[in-house]
Amino acid sequence: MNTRQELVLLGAVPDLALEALRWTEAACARAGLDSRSTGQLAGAVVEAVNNSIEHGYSLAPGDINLTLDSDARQVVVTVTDRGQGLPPQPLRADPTPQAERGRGSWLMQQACDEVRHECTPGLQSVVLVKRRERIPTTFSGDPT
Amino acid sequence: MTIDFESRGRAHVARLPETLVLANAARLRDALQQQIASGAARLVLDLSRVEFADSSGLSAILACVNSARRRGGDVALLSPMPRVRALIELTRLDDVVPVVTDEAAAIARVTGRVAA
Repeated sequence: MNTRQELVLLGAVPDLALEALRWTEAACARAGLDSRSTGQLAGAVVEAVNNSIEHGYSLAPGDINLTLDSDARQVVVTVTDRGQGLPPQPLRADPTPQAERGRGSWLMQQACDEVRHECTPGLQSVVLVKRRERIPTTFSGDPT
Repeated sequence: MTIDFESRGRAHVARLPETLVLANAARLRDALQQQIASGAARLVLDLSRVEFADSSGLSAILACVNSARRRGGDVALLSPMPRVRALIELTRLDDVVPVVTDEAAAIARVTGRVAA
């Protein structure tokens, strides 16, 4: 059974990235994702929210929607903004350890099994897919 | 955001806040670089209370490392929690900055007095 959990960050500013972190960790726990995968996925969500704040809205307040869809096979978080967007970023080469910037997209790729960029008029989404290492015996699809 | 700075002989120790993220990365970078510019170029960054860091936080640390080295100093990272250590290892930051779990060893690294 599939389930969906949602969060809207209204007028997102940098401080709200931590709210996205905490929400993702709690939503992953409700979805029965293991703690290691949860930490990796939550870190990727923060990078995606940071991209929306920095590049989508150029640090001006703007709304960001988060949805977490889960089933027995995987957990998928979609981060959507209505900002100006960035062209889809190709997978970057491994950044050098000395590079002061440019790690966010690379970290998302490292943390997730799949990263997709989806654009529709006025909406930009990053889809972060994390496959379950094991199917939880307690998975019921109930997000309560 | 709180950063505690303490002098330890020729070195300084900066105890970083609970999160190193986009919201405080610029202030963190500015505060550390101000300390470096005022003479604290041999700097230990104590990560023992940092619960979460993102790429912005790592960027602030790297800016600090590069700034210290331009001034003839160095930086060591002290006692990161497992989650932060995993990020440091994933990004290979530990290839360019020593990561240690003992403050005396960290001070020895940045002052060039490697402990026996």
